[in-house]
Amino acid sequence: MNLRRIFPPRVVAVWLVIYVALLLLPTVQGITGFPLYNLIFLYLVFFWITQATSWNILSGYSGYFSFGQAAFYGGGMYTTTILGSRYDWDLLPTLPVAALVGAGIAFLTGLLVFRLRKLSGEIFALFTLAVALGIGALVQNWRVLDGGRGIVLGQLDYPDLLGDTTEMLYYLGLTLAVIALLAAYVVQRSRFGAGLFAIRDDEKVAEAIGVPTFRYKMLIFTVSGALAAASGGLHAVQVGFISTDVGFGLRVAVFVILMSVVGGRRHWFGPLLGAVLIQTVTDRMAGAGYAEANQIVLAAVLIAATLFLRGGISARLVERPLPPVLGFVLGFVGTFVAGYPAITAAAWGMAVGLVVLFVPDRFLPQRRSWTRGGSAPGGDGDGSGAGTDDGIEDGHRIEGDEVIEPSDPASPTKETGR
Amino acid sequence: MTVLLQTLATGVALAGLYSIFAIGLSLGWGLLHTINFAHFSFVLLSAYVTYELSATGGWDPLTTIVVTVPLGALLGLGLQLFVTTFKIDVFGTLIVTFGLFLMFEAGMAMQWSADLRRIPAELNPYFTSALVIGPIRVSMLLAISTVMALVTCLGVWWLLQHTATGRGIRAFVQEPEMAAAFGVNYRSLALVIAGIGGATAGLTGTVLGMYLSLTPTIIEVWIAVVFAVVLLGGLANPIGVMGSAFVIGMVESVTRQFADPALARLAALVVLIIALVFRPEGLFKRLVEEARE
Amino acid sequence: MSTTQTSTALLSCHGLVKTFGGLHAVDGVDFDLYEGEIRGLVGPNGSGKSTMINVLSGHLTLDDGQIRLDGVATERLQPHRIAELGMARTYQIPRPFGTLTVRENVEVAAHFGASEPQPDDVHDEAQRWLEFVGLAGVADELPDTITLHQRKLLELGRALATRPRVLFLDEVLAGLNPRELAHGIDLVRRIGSLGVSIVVVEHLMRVILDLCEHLTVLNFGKVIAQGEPEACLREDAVVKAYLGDAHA
Repeated sequence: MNLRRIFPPRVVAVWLVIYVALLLLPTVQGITGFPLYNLIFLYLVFFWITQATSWNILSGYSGYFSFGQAAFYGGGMYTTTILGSRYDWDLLPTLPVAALVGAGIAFLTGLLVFRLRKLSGEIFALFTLAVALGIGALVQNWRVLDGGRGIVLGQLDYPDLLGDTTEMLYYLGLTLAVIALLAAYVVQRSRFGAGLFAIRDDEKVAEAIGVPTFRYKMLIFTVSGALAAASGGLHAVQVGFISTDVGFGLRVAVFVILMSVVGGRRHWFGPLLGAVLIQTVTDRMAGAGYAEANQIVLAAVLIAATLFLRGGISARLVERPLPPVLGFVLGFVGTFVAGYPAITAAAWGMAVGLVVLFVPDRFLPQRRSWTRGGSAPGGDGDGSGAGTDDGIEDGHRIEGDEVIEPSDPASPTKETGR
Repeated sequence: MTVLLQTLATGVALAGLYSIFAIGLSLGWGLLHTINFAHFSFVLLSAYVTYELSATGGWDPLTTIVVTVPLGALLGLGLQLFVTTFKIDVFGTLIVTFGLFLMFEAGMAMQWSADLRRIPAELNPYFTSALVIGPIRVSMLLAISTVMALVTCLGVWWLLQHTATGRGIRAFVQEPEMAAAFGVNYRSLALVIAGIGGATAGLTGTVLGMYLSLTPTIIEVWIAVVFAVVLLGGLANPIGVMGSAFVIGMVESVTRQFADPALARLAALVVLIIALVFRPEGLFKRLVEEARE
Repeated sequence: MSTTQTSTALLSCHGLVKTFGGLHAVDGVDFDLYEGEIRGLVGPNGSGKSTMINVLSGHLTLDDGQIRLDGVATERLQPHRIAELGMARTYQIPRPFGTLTVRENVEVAAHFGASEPQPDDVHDEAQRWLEFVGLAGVADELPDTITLHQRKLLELGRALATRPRVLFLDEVLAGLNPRELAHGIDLVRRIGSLGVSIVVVEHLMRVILDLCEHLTVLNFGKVIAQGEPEACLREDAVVKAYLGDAHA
């Protein structure tokens, strides 16, 4: 594998800068004393990025839509809780165990479900839902695990290096998010990802061209389960009181589906966008006492995104990154300077960015060209069916049955604009 | 012997409840290609309507079906119109109706809050009285719902097998182009089916409104078991729905009687998972086989 | 019906049986394909051609019989293992990966496909096949924006990118206009000259007669004639199968 093709230096540099800045943030907080709540908020963003990404590498990449995220998340949560509260484990070692539990649940579920002769997407979705609810019912009824009373998770030991609980959650949450995103990124750009995308589009054809579909589905399901469970384990510390409602309720599945569908399921940063966006909105709405209204709005967004936004936000953003990013920055800086809290400012920035993102192309400065195939294989360019309906003009292509002139292979950049 | 009979009676009663809950969902999935998650919301909304009319309006709870059944039918029709307008595929309907489900849940939480709502016992004779046949006791409510379920499922079966509407819709599901060529108007037939499905949700809601203490999330625990009945019953097969409801009702009833009552729901889920693994097409044949590869 | 050279056949099938319910879709077929050969597989509708392809590519499991691809038994292998051994197919109705571009469609195939030889660079390999079938100009389009003819070429390009030794073409030339057809026939010849053994399933007799040195004629799941095209088509059983008893 060509490392430079998988990790273009420029892309790596940008993300490295963001990562280091985020790593320094708690220290900056300590010095400048900006509201601590911002760190808690960011932990939740990291948490949702990890959950949504773990869902998406299975359901977005391979097309097998899961309603069973709670099985892994809740499994991890209970693993950490039980090991920590009953066996006095330190926090850190519980996380790999949680990941193993999640991987195990996913592996067994996969063995059952992917062996089905006529497995359709609907059956997979309901099957995973049944598994999540089933495990929830088991935990609820089985004294050894919970028994229906819930478990209080006290303070767990962890290395002093990580600071107080808020900082510890922040650092570990960030680490898990980075691991999840890195996994999603590498998979998308690898042979593995190419095979998963083929499975998503047409599993039979994928198998016929040599994709080991069963093995790939099992592998990605297992990885997805492990990530979700590790993140769930850490989240147990944040939640504090663990019950089957928290661990195995519908909420997690709702949010990861919503975030990924809105952000875009075909790109590694789709769930990231969705998680940031939806956690910010939810935080502001809930803070203002509109939890139910928020749920209604989010559900409406889910419906609208399913109907009208097939590629999610990311598909359109990839085509036209600069204006919305500028819009976000302007909106954020503007509201922040005007004296609003950072998260509120971020929400306004996102609102401006989204509006700019969906301004029809004809109102924006003309693009000279845009690249689609210029990126690496299986790369960014799958802006299929996104909100753009500007169509792709046929022009020179479809004229009779003439053999099409091969383009210059040295420059895969292609003019399709007008 | 008495214990066995009692177990059987409870199983049958549960089966009635499950089959009336599942029949609408099964029809929508099998005939209209709509996996209607919002069916659960329609049921819960109807339950709240029954509660409201009865607890504050003083109605006999059973008479509220004159409101809940048309309400359910309207909701079903509205959803069907929405689905056809936007040409949503099977999978899309699952997500979209899931969104609707969440909207209804939040809406009901705003209207009725998260507190338990229950029709006062003195207004709800069906819940407090029991049908006693020899040594067996069955709640009057469950007996009524079992009769309702029998009538509904057999009625739907008759409709699908012996009426022009039923023949038309079955023909369309099997061979859409051929049926269209013979003048089957799918859109209006689909509305009929969607209306019937919605009406059964209203009926179910009234039963549950009398049976349960309502909260906006109470319906979530029913999702898995009802989908189990739908999947095992063979899509759009009313007799299959009754059969699979009986199997699952008996499993629950036996678990309650002879093992830990709390494990009853889990047992039903295990049945679903085992059945899906070994007979993914359901225990019963779907009524209409589709002409797909 | 098998010839004397069984030992050197690249693909060798013996006594293939596939039934659906009581229906024998493939009923005791023997079939040998030699290195570099272009073979026509013909027969009336429902004679078992498509079932043959599905059985050979592993999509359907065989009820009875043996398949040897270069000496390796494939009848119990999963389709992707068969693809790794160098068997590829196209679909009668093109089935491109809908959310991937034309180039990505071919790249996926280059990523996977035959385990030997492995391409040095998937991107270059895909580009090579795109140029070979003449799709380099639309490489960055999505499949639903190109013409039917181009989608058929994409089927070919994707199959070729798996570096097959045996290639099944399921009516890849059906529904094309005369100019497209001429181009297609030329393309199949060029594929043959690369050393790929090809089985052409086709209704158009002109194409078959143009391309193939040998024919295998199926009817009701049985081989009713095998050999030189002209000779085959003159056989009574073949005439009967196509035209009914009255013309025999």
